[in-house]
Amino acid sequence: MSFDTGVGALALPARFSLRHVRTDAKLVAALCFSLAASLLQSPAAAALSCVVALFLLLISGLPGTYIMKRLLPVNAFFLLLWLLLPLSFAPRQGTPALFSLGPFALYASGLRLALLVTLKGNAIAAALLALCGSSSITENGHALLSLRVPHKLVALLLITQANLARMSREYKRLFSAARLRGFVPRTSLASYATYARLIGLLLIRAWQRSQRVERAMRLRGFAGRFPLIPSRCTCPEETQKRTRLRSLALCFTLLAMSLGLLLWDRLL
Amino acid sequence: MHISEGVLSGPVLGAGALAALVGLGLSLPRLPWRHIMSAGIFSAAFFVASLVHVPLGPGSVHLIMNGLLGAMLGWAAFPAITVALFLQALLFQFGGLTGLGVNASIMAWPAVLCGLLCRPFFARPGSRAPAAFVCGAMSVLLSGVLCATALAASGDDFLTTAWTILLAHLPVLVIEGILTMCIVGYLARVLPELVLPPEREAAGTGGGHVL
Repeated sequence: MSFDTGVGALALPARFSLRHVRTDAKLVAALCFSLAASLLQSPAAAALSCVVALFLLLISGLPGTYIMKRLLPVNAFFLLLWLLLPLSFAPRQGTPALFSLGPFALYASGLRLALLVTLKGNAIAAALLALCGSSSITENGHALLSLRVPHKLVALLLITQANLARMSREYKRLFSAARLRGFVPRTSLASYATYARLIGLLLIRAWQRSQRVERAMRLRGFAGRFPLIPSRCTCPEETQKRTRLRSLALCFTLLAMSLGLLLWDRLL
Repeated sequence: MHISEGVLSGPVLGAGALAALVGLGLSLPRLPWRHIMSAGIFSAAFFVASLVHVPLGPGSVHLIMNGLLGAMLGWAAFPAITVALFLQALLFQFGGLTGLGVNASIMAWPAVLCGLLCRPFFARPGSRAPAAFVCGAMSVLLSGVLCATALAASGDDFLTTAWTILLAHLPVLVIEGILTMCIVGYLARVLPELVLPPEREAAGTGGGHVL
């Protein structure tokens, strides 16, 4: 399992894509669009927000198979909603049921809600994937910092991400060691006790590592605060100017689109 | 445990964001800079632990471990969980930016409360196992209740979903309780300073705890 976004540290593509836009601008745009889309109430407006998100995916520069792999699991939850939302255990007053059998009844309002929620959820997930998934986690962290998110929180984010792959490898090693000794996962107390020991060992490894790193950092004079160096400051002046313009344009376009969507939704 | 984007109503999203901001405002000053590295490494370990799938009958459930996280990190569990949820949104598209506040409140407030309440009882061997079980089970139960409440508050159509989610939490709650009990028992034998209440509280170590 990879613990970075799809782009990781790939080189910038030659053709224009969202990867040429500043990450902080993309984060702001993603937040505006998510907020607007989550407040929509008509399926028509939600469908339009899906179209906008699809367009963003098209210009994101992410490979198609990767996008599919990321968006499919999101829809598992919505599938459950399609089953559960129209269903009601107690009959409701006022609204006629589509179909009823004993205490169970199907309601049209639930079906409409399931459609609305699926459209909105997919639009938001796709936009987030296109906008934030086209930068690495590190770039996203730096962008959060320039958006005045507390330094401590961003540092915690970057340190956590940097250690994810290592901890995952550690757990896999512990787990395969257990398998080699004949451990077969079952629904039993003995199995759960083994899992508990595996996780306990993982936590002990984390503790040992954290003690080592903390001492090493204190030895080098760490007194809090990491200097976070933005990766883009090495670009030539000309490119930086173009990037800034594109970022502003993207931000304003998406802000206008979000407002337009909300307005249209309220008028419908 | 995540509530996907697009499901909750505006007021619920706003209330969740507010609760998460209050939690972060209370917890961040309690996490000293010199312990930021440990907090990050532990947060990564718990992220991996929450990806572990434990068999249950014909299927499997994945762990949450927020009770244990609260007991081990104390107040630092709040930013750790918020950061983990943000990473999950970016890495797996589970949850998103607008639901981050609600999801963080659902997971982190029970973690911090149960952790702070139960950890003092880990000191005595007699009360250790029951306290650890309660810590693990109660935090999942509270998270389930909060999750169902957020759904139910978003519209009458979500009532059936809310009840289903609450019921689905019941087996997870028992498994989390058992696992938390076993992990705390194991750690208390192997590396007591990780789970036993700190004795150096007076030395000004902030929240005490592991860090």
